[in-house]
Order: sequence, then structure tokens, then C-alpha cells
Amino acid sequence: CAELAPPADSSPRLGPPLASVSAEGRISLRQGERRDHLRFRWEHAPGSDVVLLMSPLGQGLAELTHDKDGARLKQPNQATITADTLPQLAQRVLGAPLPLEAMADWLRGARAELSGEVDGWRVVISDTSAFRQRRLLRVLEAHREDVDFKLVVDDWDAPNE
Amino acid sequence: TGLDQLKNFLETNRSARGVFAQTVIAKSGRKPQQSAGIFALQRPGKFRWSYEKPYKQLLVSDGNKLWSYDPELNQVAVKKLGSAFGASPAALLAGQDLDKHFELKEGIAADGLEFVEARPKGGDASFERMKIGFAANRPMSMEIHDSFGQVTVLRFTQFEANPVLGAGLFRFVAPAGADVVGD
Repeated sequence: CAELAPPADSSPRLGPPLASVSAEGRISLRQGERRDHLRFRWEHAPGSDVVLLMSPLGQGLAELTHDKDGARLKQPNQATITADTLPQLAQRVLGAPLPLEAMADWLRGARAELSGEVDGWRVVISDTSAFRQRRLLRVLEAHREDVDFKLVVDDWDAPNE
Repeated sequence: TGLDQLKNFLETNRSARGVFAQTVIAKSGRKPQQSAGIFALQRPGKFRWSYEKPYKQLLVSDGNKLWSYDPELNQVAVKKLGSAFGASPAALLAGQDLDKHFELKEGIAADGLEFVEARPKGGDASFERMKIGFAANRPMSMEIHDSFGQVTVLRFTQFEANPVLGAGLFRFVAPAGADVVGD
């Protein structure tokens, strides 16, 4: 008999969501003439995100935290900076108001579609990977005006899942 | 002592190369991140630090610029080394006049190694302190502590002292199509 046609909406989707997850990998940022790439570790728990940006050797360069008390940026040898949202801190430390809160939802599989528009950012999940019977993103790209951002996840950890 | 071995290493090793294994342990202590690769250095200030696993990433310094290249991200970042290099972990291996950039003191010997503890002078270093383990007048391990509770442990093997290294090793040539711009 005829081969079964795949379901209409057969595009791969992310999820099911993880309540808590830790992702480690690399990010690259291209903004006009500026180029940067760093390592990162993203720890998400219900109601909180901690994003540590690191040098290739693993030293922390900046830690962005967001929880019920708001958003905070810690950098070595500097006073902590507070803000309302993560994008405001991203503007300060990376030079662009990256939609980090929306990215957290994509990272943990709570946002299932593979592309979307957030605050003027065009976000595309260009590669996914399997993790504990879930499909999670491996590469997330975000574009807005002259900024190209790419996040590659090299390793997942979900301690209590 | 560790300090003697550091002094001897700096005086007798104009260049070196070998293999490194890197483990980054987070404050939470969960699931350390392992990576490994090869390194080469040439005093003053030239080094090549090539990560091979789990992904490829290349750091090259000619003594005044630092290139970092990630093939998957297809991007080359170029930075002036400036003072930041002076107080960077690589500086201790490939640097000169370390007393200018670090406070050095004898550490406690352990596991057959003698240690030097180094704290960067000045406020712009990305780490708080470092311990270098020596044996036979050459570095065997480095432990780097930053201000976020991260600890990086580096182990050096197949260490070769004073190899002849081509100058090209410390210049970065961008592969075709790589996106290169920088200060």
C-alpha cells in the first residue's frame, strides 16, 4: 500500500520542556566591525536564569543572573550592575539587547517552534539534538539590524530530570 | 623549590611544546567540562593553543595580537594583547619579567610537584590566583581560580623543551571564507 505520508505538521519541534537544565557551549557575536566568541554555561531553574560567559580557558568574564529580584551583572573587579531584564544587561556586556529570556524558553524546550520573532530579533533554531528522549536545540541563531548572534550547545545536563 | 624551578624554566626554555588536557570545574561542581589539545610557545609572548576535543578552537598570539578561531562558528576574533596578556595564564608560560605582572610565592609541595602561587598585579586580570606545579624544571600542571568560583586544571604532557618552531606557527592565516575583522 502507499507509503504513509508523514503527518501534515511533521516539522521537528523542540521539547517536551525541561523545568531545570544546564547547557554549556559557545556563542559568537558579529556586530558591524565587532567579532567575539566566548564560552558560556546557562543554568535555568524555574524562575531563574544564570548565564556565565567564559574565556576559552574557563575563566568567568561576566555572569548575568535573572530571578524574582530582577537582573544582575557581575564582572571581575567591578561593582554589580542591576537592571530589570536580561536584554538590558546583554546590551551592556555584549553590546546588543539579545532576547535572553526568550532564548531560555527555547533552550529548555518550552518554546517548541524552530523559528520566531522576538523584540525585532529573528530567531532560528538551525540544528537540534536529542537529550533524554527530548529534542533540544543545538544551534540557535538570532539576527537584528547589523547584529548576528549564534549559540552552539556542546553539552546538556539536567540533574534532577 | 617551585620558585627555583620556575626561574630555571624561564631561563632555559626559549620555546616549548606539548599536549594539554583541560578540566573546568564550576562552583556547583557538577559535570566538569573536559577538553584537550596541543600547545606551542616561544618567548616572549608567542603561543599557539589549539583545542582539538570536544570541538576545534585555535588561539594564536604573535606577541602583540591574539587571534581566536572557531571553525564551526566560522569566525575569527582578533584582539590586541595589551596589558591583559601580561596577567593572563598564558603569560606565565610564554611571558617575560613576570614579577611585573604577578606576585609570586612558594606553594606547598604535593604529589611529587613543587608549586608556585601567582596572583596577578593590577585589577584587570580575568582570574584571581593560579598554581603551577613543577617537576624537572618544567611545568606539569596549572590550576586557575577565577572570581566566580570556576577552577580550571591544565595538565601538560609530552612536554618538549626548546624545540625549533617555525615563525609561521605564531601567525594566524584565516582559512578561505572565514569571517575576520577585529581591532
